[in-house]
Amino acid sequence: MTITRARFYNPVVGRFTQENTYRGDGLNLYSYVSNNPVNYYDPSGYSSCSSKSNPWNEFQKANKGKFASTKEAVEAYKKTLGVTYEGSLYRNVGLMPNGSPVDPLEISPFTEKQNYRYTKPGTNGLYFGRDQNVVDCEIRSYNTDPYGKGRTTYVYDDVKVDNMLDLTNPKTRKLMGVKKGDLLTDDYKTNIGGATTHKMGEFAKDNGYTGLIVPSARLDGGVNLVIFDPKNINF
Amino acid sequence: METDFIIKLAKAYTEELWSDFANLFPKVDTDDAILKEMPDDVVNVLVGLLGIEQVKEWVCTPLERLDNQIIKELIKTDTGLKAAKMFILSMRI
Repeated sequence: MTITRARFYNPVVGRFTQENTYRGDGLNLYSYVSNNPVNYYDPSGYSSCSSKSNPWNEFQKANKGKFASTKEAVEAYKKTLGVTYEGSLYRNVGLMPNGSPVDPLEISPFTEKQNYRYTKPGTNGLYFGRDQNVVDCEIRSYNTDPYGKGRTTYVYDDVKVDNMLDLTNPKTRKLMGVKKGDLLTDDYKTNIGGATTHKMGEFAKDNGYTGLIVPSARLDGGVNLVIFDPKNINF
Repeated sequence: METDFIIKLAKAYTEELWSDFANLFPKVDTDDAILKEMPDDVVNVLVGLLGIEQVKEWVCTPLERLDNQIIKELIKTDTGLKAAKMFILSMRI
């Protein structure tokens, strides 16, 4: 896959090597932290629902008589929670075992075999940070230097990803029966397939979501995106 | 020291998961005294993931996410070796 829209962070000069194509951040076009905290939206109205347009009520109205029980209706509703993410994505990668650079937008053979927070071995997913701090904190949490030899941070601006399951949204977490703390523990390392995060990943994948928007476990307030099949995204 | 987390990691270990992963990494020849004392498969994976320069320091550093254990010491017991392999399998780097 050709990386035509990525920027590369140069730690020596502390700047990105290309001008950010997004011109909404004021005069400093090399800025890497947007001042706008609202960088994804929910076309369904789920995350900003008012008492007049409650999506759960709308769903029930539209599917009246279709389900045998409320529980059945809730299970069906859980499959319709997709939101659209719009903004930048950051990813830090190293080298392939043969010394060639990892393609940041492809599932490498060893990624497929690894055990990640939302994707157990055999379930593919690429992990991105919503900003550079998230990526740096996560790489550093393993005592690895994100700017060490052979490592590169790729930045994709103005990315739009539809149908994401947003677990940063407390309402979505409540509906899914999970607490934020369940998503931040390292249980996935010791309970493969049974950990809450693995179950959320499996649910999202099995129900056709493009991926997940999740709280960072390494940076308080940080946000990660997990995308199951990067080929579906226009980077 | 075998903490609860180390024991849990070791219990989660399966040979199949590890070997499926480790077999993707080519054999590394090294003269480094510390790395030569470590199992080949662990060295191969770590060098593949981190690069040889970083590995030498990394295996001697207490890892906060691994209850401050040092890999080169941890792998000297069977439980520690299994825990280390599971930890490496879960590193998103």
